[in-house]
Amino acid sequence: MAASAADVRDILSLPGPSNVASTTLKKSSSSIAKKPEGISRELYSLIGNSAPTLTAQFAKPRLKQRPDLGKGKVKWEQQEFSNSARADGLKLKHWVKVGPDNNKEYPFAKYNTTTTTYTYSLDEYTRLLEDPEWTKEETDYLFSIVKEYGMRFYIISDRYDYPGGPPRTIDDLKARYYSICRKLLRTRPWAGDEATRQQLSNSYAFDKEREIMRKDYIDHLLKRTPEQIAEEEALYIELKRLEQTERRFAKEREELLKTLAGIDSGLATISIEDDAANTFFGGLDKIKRSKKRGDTMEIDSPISSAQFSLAPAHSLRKTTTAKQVAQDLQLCIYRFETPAAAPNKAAHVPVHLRSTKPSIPKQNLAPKIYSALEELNINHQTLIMPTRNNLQQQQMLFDATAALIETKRVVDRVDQEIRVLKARLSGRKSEDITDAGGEETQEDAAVESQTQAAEESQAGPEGDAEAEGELDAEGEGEGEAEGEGDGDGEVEPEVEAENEDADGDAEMEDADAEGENEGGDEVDGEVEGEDDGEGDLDDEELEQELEQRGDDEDEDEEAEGEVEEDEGTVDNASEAPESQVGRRRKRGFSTSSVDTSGTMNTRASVKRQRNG
Amino acid sequence: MATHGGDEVSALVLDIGSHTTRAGYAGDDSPKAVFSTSYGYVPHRPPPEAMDETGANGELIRQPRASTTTYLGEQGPNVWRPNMVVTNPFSEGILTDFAPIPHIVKYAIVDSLRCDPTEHPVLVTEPTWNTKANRERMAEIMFEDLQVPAFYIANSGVLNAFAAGKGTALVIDVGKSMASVVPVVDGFVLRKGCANSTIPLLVRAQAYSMLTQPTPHREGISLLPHHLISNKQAVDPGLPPRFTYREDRASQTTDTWRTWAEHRELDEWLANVSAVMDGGWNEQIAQTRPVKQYEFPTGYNTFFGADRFLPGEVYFNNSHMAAPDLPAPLNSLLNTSLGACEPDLRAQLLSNVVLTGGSSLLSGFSERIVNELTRSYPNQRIKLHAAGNITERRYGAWLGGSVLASLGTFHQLWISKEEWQEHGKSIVGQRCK
Repeated sequence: MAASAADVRDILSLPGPSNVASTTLKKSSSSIAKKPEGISRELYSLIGNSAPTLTAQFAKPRLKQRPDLGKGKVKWEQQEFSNSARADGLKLKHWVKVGPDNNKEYPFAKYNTTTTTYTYSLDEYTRLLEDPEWTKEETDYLFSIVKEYGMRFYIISDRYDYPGGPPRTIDDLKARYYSICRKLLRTRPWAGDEATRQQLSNSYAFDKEREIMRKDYIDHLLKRTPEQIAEEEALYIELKRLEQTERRFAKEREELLKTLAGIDSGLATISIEDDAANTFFGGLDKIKRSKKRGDTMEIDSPISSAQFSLAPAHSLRKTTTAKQVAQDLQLCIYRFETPAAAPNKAAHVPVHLRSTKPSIPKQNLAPKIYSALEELNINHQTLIMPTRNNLQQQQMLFDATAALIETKRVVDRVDQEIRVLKARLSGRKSEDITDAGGEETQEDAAVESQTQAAEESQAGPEGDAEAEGELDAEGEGEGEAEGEGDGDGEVEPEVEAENEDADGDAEMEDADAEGENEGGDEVDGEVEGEDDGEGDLDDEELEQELEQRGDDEDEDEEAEGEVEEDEGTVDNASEAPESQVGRRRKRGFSTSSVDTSGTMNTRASVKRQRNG
Repeated sequence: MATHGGDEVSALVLDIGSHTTRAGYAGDDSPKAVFSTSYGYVPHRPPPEAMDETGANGELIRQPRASTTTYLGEQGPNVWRPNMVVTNPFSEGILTDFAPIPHIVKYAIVDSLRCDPTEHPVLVTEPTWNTKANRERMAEIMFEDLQVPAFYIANSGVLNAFAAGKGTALVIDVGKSMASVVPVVDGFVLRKGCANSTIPLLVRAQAYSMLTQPTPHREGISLLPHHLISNKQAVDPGLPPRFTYREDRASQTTDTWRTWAEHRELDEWLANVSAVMDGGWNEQIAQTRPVKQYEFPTGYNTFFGADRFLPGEVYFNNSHMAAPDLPAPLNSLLNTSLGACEPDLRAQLLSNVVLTGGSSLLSGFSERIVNELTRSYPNQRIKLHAAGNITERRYGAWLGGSVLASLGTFHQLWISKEEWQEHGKSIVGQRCK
């Protein structure tokens, strides 16, 4: 977002634009004279005060002003000068500007600097600086040449030529010189603080052995052949590549852990840090090791967590020999199947702790399982001893809990349906008693059959398919009616008629179903009785039963009302409001029936579970 | 008055090389006077051992010359004179004959630059392998013969590095008679790392024999100079020349002058035709290179193909020449020099290689040097500084002297006449390190 000028002003705490504008406006308004009334602006600009005068245009054009180069000529003079950096009085001549400061010091003399070097007395030498390899004279020579060449040791060692002395390398000279400097610094009184003294002493530190070793290394580096360099280069690239793959593995592993288990193992970051900390030679070593081990490393390592499971011991790789199996048993090594299904995924998973890969229940059931376990005061998050057996036990516990929860859920649903249908049945019974009309009995029977089917589905496996089919058919019919019923009021009577038809169809089918149901092996005695005789008494019995149970829920009432209204619509088709209500009710009924059919599948499966 | 650290004291810079002597004002970018160091003189009577000229030592020649005229500069050996002997004070890159030096110095300063030597400090160059006696002798000539107010003698290797703007460098200087590799650190020469050889002389000898010896394709080429040819006719390439020899001069031409003149023609041919194979010797590649036509003073002209690369190759490889005590080629000079340096220094020197000297102007020479160095030190960064300007390349030492003598901080280093009189010869060694 671009910052406006106001923002910038705000940030820099400058005055607002209004202030600036007002001051400039004031100036301009004061300088320009007011235009008199009655003259147009164009005319005034020609004749007014601001009009350009003609005289100005005939004025002689002025040339650009000459730059002021100072006053007059500069006088130069060849003068003799003496250099204060020289010991003798050599007079050289150079050209200088004539000025007052001619006799000042030669400007380049100040660059004549010398390095301060240590000197030592004879007493100091005999007390401290004796060295079997150096004579006093040679040490003196060394110090003089160091002073002469300003501590440039390359040149000192090049020019070092002590007559009669042994040949000295640059390291010999440095070692001798710096050791003397250190000794003198240590023993002499020091004016400054100890820190600077220590610092100075450190600057004189010199390790001859190390220096020689370092030079050897450099020499070897210089003497490498092109082939050796190429090989080194190749190895380095290889190392980089391996590090990259390692990092990618770690990243992928981390992502998998996060998505599948929702835990942050922290392994990825650790391994990356390890990689970063690897030195070059350490890295090379690592490469060699990995090359030596080859494939065995991948066999040893467990598979990625996606396929993680507590595989039993017998699921070893087919390639493993009997000897290997024996060894594994002895050493308590568990091998896991490498995932054949995921060729694109990296098969390599490094060594990990078992506690970081706990068993995880199915995602949709997990919260219920956890709550169920919490009721039993079992902590699902931490497994204190994550041994193989314990993990297996935990997994089994999760599985058992999941099965239990599933069963309970199905049982609850089926119970609920039974209750609904029974309530409807009882409602129909009461209607029969009040109306005693023949028309409704058929529908009544249909409801009855539904109830029966629901009950039967609970009881035996046989009549399932049929019951489902019935309900589906009914649902279809109802759905059709609904779709048309949403239209205008004019169509309503027709809709009603269709509804009736659909109901009728369903009834017919119901009857079929009943007949077949009779052939079933396991049928409730009660329902059987109902089927056999469609008499009022039977219905009454059922009603009484329901009353005994004390089931008096809203749904039941609704079903009852529905049937009543249905009847009403059939009777008085002309009464629109009533019929609308009735239709609404009917729709409610139809939806409930569709719902029931929807649950049939689960019901069937639950039945199988129970039987099996 | 100090601009960029410079302070002109109207010093003169004198660079006496085996081929040419260069003289000029400090602060200039090229020498004002450049003339051949070889000089001619006519002995009163023909030298008794005229045939021994090449092998003669200084004493023999000096005796008759004491009372003769020395011919120097453009009007010197370049002009044919009856019975004129041409000689050179240098032998293997070092001054061996100091007799003509006062003449040469005077010719440079008084006759060429028109300066009064008593008014100007003079900076003189010396090769790295110069002897202590030589530099003291040079100081003596300057102070006693020319009465200069101040004098300094500087190493040409250091000056070449300064001319390239470097304080630390590996200077490869290929001159007319000497090739040298000099490591310079902080403006000081590492004497132990210096290596030099007379390989350029071998190159010239190879070129001379290659041209003058007959081959199956052609006869031996005559390198007669213009001075000895009265007229000539144009001939087609490869055909024998048609020219008239100046018989009148034949009897009065000394062998030394003739050799000098022939070598001048040889140098012309080398500069125009010869080249170096930049990637190392390869007969096939040499054959594919374009041929060059060259016409000699006799009118003989021909095309030179692969054989024009042969003399240049001797700079880098002389193992094919079966002769004992051959001068070392440049490769071994480089290896010797770098091998004698501290290992820490090598990387620094290799990234500051300075190529200078007139003979290094052969085409392909700098590329070849880089290739040779890369082959010897495959994992080092090699940076070669070779001036593109021919003047800078030929007169690198003079240019460095010009830079040094115009620095304000340098003026404390001059050896003054007063110091010379007080300390004597030892002051030279003390001051000029």
